[in-house]
Amino acid sequence: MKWIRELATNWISDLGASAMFAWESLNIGVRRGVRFGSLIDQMYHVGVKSLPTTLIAGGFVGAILAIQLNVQLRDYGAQAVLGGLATSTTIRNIGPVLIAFMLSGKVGAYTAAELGSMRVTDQMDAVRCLGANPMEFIVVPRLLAVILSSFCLLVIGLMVGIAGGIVISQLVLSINAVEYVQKIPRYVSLWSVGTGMAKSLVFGIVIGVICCYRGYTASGGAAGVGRAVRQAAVEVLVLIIVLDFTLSSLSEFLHAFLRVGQL
Amino acid sequence: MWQMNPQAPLFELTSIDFGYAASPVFRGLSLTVEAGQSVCLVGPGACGKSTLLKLAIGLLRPQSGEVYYKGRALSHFSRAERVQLARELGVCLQNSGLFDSRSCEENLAFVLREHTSATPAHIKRQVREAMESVGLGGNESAFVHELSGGMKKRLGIARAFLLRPQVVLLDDPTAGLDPITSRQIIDLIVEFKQRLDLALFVITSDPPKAFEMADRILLLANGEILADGPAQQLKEASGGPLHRFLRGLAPT
Repeated sequence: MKWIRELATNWISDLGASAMFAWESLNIGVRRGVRFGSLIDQMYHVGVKSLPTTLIAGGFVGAILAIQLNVQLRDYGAQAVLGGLATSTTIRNIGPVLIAFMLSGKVGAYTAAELGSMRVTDQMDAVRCLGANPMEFIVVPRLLAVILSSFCLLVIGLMVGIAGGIVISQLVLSINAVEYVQKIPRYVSLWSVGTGMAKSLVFGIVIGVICCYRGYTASGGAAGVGRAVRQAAVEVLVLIIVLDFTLSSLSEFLHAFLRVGQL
Repeated sequence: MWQMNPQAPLFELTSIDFGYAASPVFRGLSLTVEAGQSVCLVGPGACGKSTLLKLAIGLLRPQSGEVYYKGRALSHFSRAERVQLARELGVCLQNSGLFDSRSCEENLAFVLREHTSATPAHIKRQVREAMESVGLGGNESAFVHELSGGMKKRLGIARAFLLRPQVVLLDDPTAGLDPITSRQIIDLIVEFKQRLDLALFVITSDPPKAFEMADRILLLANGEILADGPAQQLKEASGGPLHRFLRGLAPT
């Protein structure tokens, strides 16, 4: 029991520290502004350069879901609803989670490792020696870039995921693409799209905050950087799963509540 | 901005306690560095030399005690005062602290952009001159990760001297370099010191190099200053902790 208590305490403590870090970054960003040049530079490095990976991952996520759901629906002769179900699942649940997992490895690990290396090679201290604030100069542009890039990449990944489902249905499952698309509006409401977008934003924030925090607080040379990246990866993956459950439940609850309200 | 006290020492550390986690580094350490002095801090590895430098310039906060710069406590510095402090101190940390994903030019231009209102053309010219002064002319567009260890040290030194500070603090500028490159770096530092007429605070684990650069030598070991005096006097004195250290024995 003791180790469970310690684990829980450490987790809560780390989450609290990450939240404080995010708050401080927000404060600095609002009070002193964001260095636009650095932001664009970082968005190019973490966003644009991650686009091909996201397109591949997104496309395959949609294709996998279409194939898997088709196996289940075929047994009930309900393949006609494949387009709607596959798209709904892609947008609301599996898509954001899988693409966020991929981004946590691509964007998150890169950011944690870069900031960690900067920390252990005195680059953060050098910025302070030069009279600048490393949070303002290094962290805030990266944090914002990771959040914005992750959100945009998630949204793009979801759209490509839908396209992947359409393509695989037409080419492999012999389901007419037009029929597939026609079923989408019946199963995918604006609420579903909103839920997917909200999850994408929250997952983007989680990847940005945790990875920047772990990188920024790395210590102990190369081993310390490795430790920071590992901690960031584990925390992001677990948080994404927990938040996916929480947001899905919240979305369902709110949806039901609002529908009752309308009645 | 703070009112400078012309009589106050450049740095004054009073009764400093500091440690990492459970291991104390300094207990009640006090040290004064007068303006215009060139000081070398020597001592065995892991005795707290870099920690002392970081405490002196405010990168680390003492657990108790106070650090004063020109008579004013660093802990009371406002943001504007910290910026002014950064202008007056040129610092090159042990790993040089260069932005390794940036070019040499960007590393130096950053300092000028932060502290001057120079035009881009003027910054470019100043960067080129600074690069040439440390023998790195023509490498402006090279990325830091492409440079050798000696070239990185040169670039770090160029950055430390770029704003013509009042005092330059260098943390082991010859660490990990071959004897020829070490010699070139020492010559470079001495040349800058004489040409720009500024004070130096240099950390080294190599006492013979310290004698070349400094007027005053400090020997740090076991969290205490074991020897403190004019370089020439300590060099000639036989016996004592510095003499033992020079002979490769633990200074006591």
